[in-house]
Amino acid sequence: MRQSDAATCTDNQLLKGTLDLLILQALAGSPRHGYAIAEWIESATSDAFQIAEGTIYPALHRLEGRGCIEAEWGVSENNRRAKFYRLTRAGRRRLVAERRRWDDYAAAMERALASAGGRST
Amino acid sequence: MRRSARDRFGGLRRGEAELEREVDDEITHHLERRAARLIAEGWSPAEAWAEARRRFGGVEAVRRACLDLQTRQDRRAIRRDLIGDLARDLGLAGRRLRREPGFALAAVVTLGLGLGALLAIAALFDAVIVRPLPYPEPDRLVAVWPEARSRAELDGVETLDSLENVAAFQDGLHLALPGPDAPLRVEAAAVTPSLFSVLATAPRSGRVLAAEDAAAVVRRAVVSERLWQRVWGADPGVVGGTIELDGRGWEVVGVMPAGFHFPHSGTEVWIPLDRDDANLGAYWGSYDLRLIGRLAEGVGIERVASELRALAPRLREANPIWTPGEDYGRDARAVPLQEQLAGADLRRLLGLLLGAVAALLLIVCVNVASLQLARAGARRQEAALRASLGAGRIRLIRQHLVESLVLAGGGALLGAAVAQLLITLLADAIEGADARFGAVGLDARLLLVAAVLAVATAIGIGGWPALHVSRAPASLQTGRGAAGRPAGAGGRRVLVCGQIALCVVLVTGAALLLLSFWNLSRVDPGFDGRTVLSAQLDPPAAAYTEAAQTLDLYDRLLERLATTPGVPAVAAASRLPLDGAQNRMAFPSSGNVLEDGLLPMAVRRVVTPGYFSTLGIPLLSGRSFDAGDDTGAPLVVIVNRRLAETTWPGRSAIGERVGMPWERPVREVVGVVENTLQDGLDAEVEPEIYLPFAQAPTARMRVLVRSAEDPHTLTALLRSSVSAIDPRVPVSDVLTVRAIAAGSISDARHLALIVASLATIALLIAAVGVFGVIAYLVEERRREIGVRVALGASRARVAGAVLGEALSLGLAGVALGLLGTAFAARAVRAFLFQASPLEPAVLLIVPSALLGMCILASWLPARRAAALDPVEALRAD
Repeated sequence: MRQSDAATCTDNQLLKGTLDLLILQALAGSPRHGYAIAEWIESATSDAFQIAEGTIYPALHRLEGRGCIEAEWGVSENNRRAKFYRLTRAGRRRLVAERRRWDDYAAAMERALASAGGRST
Repeated sequence: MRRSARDRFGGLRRGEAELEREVDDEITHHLERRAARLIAEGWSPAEAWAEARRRFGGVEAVRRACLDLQTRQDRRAIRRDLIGDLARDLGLAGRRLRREPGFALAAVVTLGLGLGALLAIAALFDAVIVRPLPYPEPDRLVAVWPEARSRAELDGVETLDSLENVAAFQDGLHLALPGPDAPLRVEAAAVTPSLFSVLATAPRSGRVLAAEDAAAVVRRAVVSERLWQRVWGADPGVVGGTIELDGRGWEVVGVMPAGFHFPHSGTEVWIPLDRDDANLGAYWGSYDLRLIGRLAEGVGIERVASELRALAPRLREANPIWTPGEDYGRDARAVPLQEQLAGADLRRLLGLLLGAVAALLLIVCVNVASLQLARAGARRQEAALRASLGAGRIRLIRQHLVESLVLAGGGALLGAAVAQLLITLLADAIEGADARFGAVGLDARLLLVAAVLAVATAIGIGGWPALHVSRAPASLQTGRGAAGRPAGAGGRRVLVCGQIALCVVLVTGAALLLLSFWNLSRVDPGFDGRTVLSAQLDPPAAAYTEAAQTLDLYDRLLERLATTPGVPAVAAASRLPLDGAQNRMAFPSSGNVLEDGLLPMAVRRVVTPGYFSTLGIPLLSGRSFDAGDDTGAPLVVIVNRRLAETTWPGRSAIGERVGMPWERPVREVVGVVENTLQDGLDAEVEPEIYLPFAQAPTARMRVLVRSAEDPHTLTALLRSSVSAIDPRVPVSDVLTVRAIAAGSISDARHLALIVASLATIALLIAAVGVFGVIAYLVEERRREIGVRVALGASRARVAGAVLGEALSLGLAGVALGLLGTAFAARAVRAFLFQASPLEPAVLLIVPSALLGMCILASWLPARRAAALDPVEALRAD
């Protein structure tokens, strides 16, 4: 079925753990509801990842279960009931740690790719 | 503190529907917003919704994933919360109990005693009655024709179709095994080789006895694992080797596995049952052979009984000496082996003890519950405060129960230790409970019982007080009602009443058992054994093959002892009265007729001429035995008064004749002696035949030495005399005859002591209970008492009123208890001797004693009330 693999297929385009990092970053400023997070990811990445928007919800609930974020029902801008997520203290720590990991990873990739360029010499 | 959305919206126990709605709302919100944005960008509504869904991905898959996650997280949170709550409650309970160490200690110790006693008795009950016998398919094992008298009966039973296998055995044999210092006396059983297949037990090493072993020239035996360990240090070379038993060589063919001790826990050696037809006399009327069998597959036990009855007429003809009457075999039956081994007496005994310890535990629980109620009264304010701060009723009840659980848990731990200790004591004290069925002990099942009991106890001691506390008024008023009536007092009175009632039952039971033991110990057995020392001699059979050797041994020994200064009389007897199972035989006589189709039975005792004078048994007519009654002389016997009166009523027995079961009545009665009790102090006197030792030499005899002073001083002399004559003869059980007689009622003494200790503990606990409730009443009524004193009530009247309160409690409890006693009387009746379950003296003394206890227990509170200073009492409020 078309829907059945929606939750997993995006992993092909997104590195594992990247979505969690993006969500945590999205919530770093202020609480947001799910749709706002999706919009933020879209604009912040210039829609580079093309994720199925639905996948952020299981990710949100998982992060909530781990205590990185907490949720609260509130009223959204269009006066509808919406669930707002905010970073907890643990979530903030996680964000910092994940971010450092990502930086290390990216730097390592950068170096590796740069040295691969040395092939021509 | 911020609470998570879970707590705020719907709390923890939100239902599935609610959860679904939340997830749906969240997803719908997303889709709506996306569609709205697309519409704003110029999409048509329908296309916008489709696009929103496309970008979202599989709506249903996301929904499922979210629901799964949430459900799992909710469950985890509930568990976390429950554990957290429990930990909080435990902490609270711990803090509270630490604040009241006296209460906590009293509760745990009394609960420990109560639970321990119950567990110990339950363990014995379990081992003896509940747990199946430790043999394969134990429910197929039956005891057959419990009173097998003849070889023919064994042969007949072996032909039954309903039994797959039949075995006969003779227990209580003792063999001398050479030891490092003196020979050991080892208990053995002579068995048909089929015993091992009936019990379906394979040897640990070697083999079991086989059919050919019975007739083999080489004597073969199987030994127990315990003996193998103890005597030969588990040397595997013993199997196949030769050991010396009773001075003869025996080949050990096998070692049975650990725990195999049939039919007694003390049985260590199994030898083939001698089925020599020439020895026919041993099989007729000897009462010794017991039969067990294994039911054939799918056969009920009733089939055995009906087949046995069908067999009886044939067996009746088989007796070569005399023909049993028409009624022969009427009593043939088969009973489950387990029932047979744990006799009705033991069952009743354990049932009685179980009831007694259950009553004790109940009293303990009531006591702790009553103390809890008192604390609950004091804690109503705290409870009210907590309730007003939002603690739910359930929460308060739970806290109370957790606290009770802590107490009961502590009690159960202590109880397990107490039980372990009691089990060892009890197993020694109660004959027949001594691990007859393997080790008695606490196993996993019993620990489970302990845990269940602990929880039940917790509910018992915490339930009522918990409800009581939780009914506290929400306002912060004092614990006192408008009329100055103390809260919880009513409940406590009821509890104390129940306590006193249970106490009455227990104390009455104890008093009856003590009275009955007192009666037993005053029974005149018909002989005087106070200064008579006795010892069992077991000359090894190999060295004493001829009757002359046996005669010579005892002649020389008795002569040697008789010439010792300070020894007025000596004798020997095949068995002493009141020393366990007596030898019996059926006896043909010149006077007797068949009883119930059988020859009458008599106790048979072989004695030397000095027997009657040594034990002070009066000769009523005729003469005693003398040295002339030997092998060459005419065969003679002496009978007791009972036999003379029943066999030859209205005329002299002297000159009449009796015989052994296998012979015509050829022995002349030369004397009649006074009756002695034989089977027990509570048993009837039975007919008895005394045979002169010289005419019926028996190797195993008990030697009796009357002493002018303390008989124990003769112990060394006795031993040295025997070893001077023949050092190979083991001497054992050196006891005064009086000690043997006392030993015969040790069960009654132990039972009386056990129940009396339980009753004493119960009485103490109940006294504490009465003291507690009266002291509490006085404390709560300080004001009222103060007013009355101020209005001129005398101190005596105040004290009297308090005592009256206690007395009315006591009276109510006693009335209730007497009612209970009427029911309990039936359980105790079987253990009473010359005492009625409704003994007037006991029914008078016990209630008075309990009322006295009530007055004693309330003495201090009454004095305190009387000494109350009215000014202070009134000012205090």
